[in-house]
Amino acid sequence: MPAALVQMLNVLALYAISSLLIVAFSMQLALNELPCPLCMMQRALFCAMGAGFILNLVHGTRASHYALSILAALLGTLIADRHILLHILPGDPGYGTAVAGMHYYTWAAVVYLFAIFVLTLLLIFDRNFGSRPAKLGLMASTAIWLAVLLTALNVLSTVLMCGFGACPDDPTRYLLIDKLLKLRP
Amino acid sequence: MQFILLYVMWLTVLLSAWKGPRGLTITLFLVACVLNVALFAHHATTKLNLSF
Repeated sequence: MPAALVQMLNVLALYAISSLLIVAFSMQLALNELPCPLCMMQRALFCAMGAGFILNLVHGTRASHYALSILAALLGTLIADRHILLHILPGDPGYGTAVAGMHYYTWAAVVYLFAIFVLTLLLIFDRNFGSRPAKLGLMASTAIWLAVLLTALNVLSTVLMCGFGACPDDPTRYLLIDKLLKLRP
Repeated sequence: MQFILLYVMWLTVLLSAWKGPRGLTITLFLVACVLNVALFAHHATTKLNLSF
């Protein structure tokens, strides 16, 4: 597989992860559906998958970088599957709004499994492994910036949602904002 | 608080992957994974009434 194509696939993977995080944020802000602890872990592991792609772009393609993304996707699958099982009984409305017939955690499980499949396929094309990385273009730099920015926004969102205490199991309000508003004279 | 720490860890991993040395990034990644699993084990306490 040509090196330019491998780089492009890594950039596209980063954009795909950013899109998933943007969808999660959109649902959080537009529908006021705050993420539960399991949802936050699934989001965090989407961010984690991005680390392998960034390493590929910055340090060159290596099997170990793909392994990190696969590890993150496996952990994500574990958490998303647990979340599905919590709501699998008939009559359970699930957590949050369903998008295209499935809840976010179900989509997350599908995406993690698909990512494992694609990353495993990419490991077959190992001729470019260990090669020097190409110079980062605008599209690649933007993809990295976006992934880092969305992870930073998740930090901010979590601070606003949980304050500096324990996060609620079924969050409905931004606890830190509530606390600050109460302090205002 | 644990979730803030979790996200800060992953943010550090991404920044390290972008600007830092490769070895440090991989080490931080594995530490963040352990934190993630510990947090999951802490929160996955509800008994599932399912049989497999």
